[in-house]
Amino acid sequence: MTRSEGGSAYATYEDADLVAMVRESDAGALEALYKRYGRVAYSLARRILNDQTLAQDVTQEVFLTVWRDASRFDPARGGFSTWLLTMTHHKAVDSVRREENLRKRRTTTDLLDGKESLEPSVDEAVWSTMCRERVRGALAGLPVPQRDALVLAYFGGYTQREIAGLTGTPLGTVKTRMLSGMRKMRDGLDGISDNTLALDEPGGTP
Amino acid sequence: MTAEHLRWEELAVGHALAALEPEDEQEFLAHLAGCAECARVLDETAGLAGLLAYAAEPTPPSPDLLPRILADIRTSDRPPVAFGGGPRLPVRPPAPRPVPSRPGGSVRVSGTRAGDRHPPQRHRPILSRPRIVRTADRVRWVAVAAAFALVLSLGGWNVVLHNRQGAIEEIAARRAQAVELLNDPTSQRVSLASADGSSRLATAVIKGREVWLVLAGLQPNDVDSTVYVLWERPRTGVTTAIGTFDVPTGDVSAVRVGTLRGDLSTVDALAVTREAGREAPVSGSDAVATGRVLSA
Repeated sequence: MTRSEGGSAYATYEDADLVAMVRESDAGALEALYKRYGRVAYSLARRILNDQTLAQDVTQEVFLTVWRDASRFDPARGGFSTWLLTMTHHKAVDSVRREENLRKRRTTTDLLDGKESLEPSVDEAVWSTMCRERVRGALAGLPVPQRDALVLAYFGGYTQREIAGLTGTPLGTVKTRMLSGMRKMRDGLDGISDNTLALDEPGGTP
Repeated sequence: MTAEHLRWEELAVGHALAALEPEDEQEFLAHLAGCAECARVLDETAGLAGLLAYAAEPTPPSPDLLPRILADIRTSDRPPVAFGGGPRLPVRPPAPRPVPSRPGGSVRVSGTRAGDRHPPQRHRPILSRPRIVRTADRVRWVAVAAAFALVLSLGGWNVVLHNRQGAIEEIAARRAQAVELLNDPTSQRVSLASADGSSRLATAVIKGREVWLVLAGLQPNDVDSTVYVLWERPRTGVTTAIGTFDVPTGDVSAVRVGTLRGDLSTVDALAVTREAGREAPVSGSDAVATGRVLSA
């Protein structure tokens, strides 16, 4: 796989600076953002869509959008990772809600696809591992009904009304649980920024 | 919060999770346009929702995904004008001689937003930068691993392994100090890269006006006859030395260098030179590492 010359030099820049370079049509900067966030974006899409090809399509679209719409990103309004992952989430949810993909949605609320792995794989950034550990810990600290509501919504791609049907609870209760769950998550995650540190992915994505 | 507004907050959460029915979605978006409180809640919630993504089991995409993305942008309406060969912005920093003008353009990020899902209001950072917490063994492992990753990211595994236990502990302590400095949420950082832009040799950490350098790839100097100097080139005015320092080994360590003349916002670039003698000269030789101070 080709790597750009001076690729590691891009790794020294903060996200917002890389986006500024993308606006100036610097493809190396886009590649650096992909190396930083491509895996988490793909993993999110994969979990929602349960389909590697569809997940890659979404990820591909999202990074093309980053390229085309870089001028829309304003770092004063939020971190790049929030922008990227919000876009990824919405595209993945839109995709899984299409007629032909509806059956791919999962009603399970566990988030482990395989064995529990809090040890990072060789080429995963320590930062990602720490985030995963903290977020899963915060989720585990929620009352089960709140956690289920959040997971079914965020990872399952279900609407509030559908979740009410799946769980046999009134719509109003589902809304309350989601709100309470997010408030509790916020408290449980105090100390992590939505701006990651500018650390390399050691080894990069394969 | 009124019961009425609680309802809007519920909708804001549902919106951030993409879980609203279409009619609720439209109603909320219409309300959002005129409600600062909801915009703030949405802002916060969107940041949180972004973190939720990390709970998914990490899986690498196929290796041909990146080439496909790059092919996409080449055929897009705005094909790349730079690829590889190092960053195009900022402009390759010149040697720190007194120069009145500043090369290159400024990096300005602005932009319009037109009804997309990006949070509309000014971002309030609700959460600070991560701190390495040293409690349980597993978390301590992660802290050590963070230091390990830091060494990798700072330009290579340069640690010289010693046999003496004390030296190993000293290395670990210096590395931990470097990690703490970099993680300090109140500090600002400027990366200093080699002249060809290919590797990061140090990171300047600025707290207030005090400047530390976290060293990684700079060559050790002969402390009897040479000294490293850190320079500040202001946006207007003459380049001056912040202070001197030595690089005794190739290890990751941190050193306090000195104080800026003014706020970091007055500084255009930082540069490192290596000089003969033990004092900073009036003007420096060719920079061995430089970094532009990019505006936020």
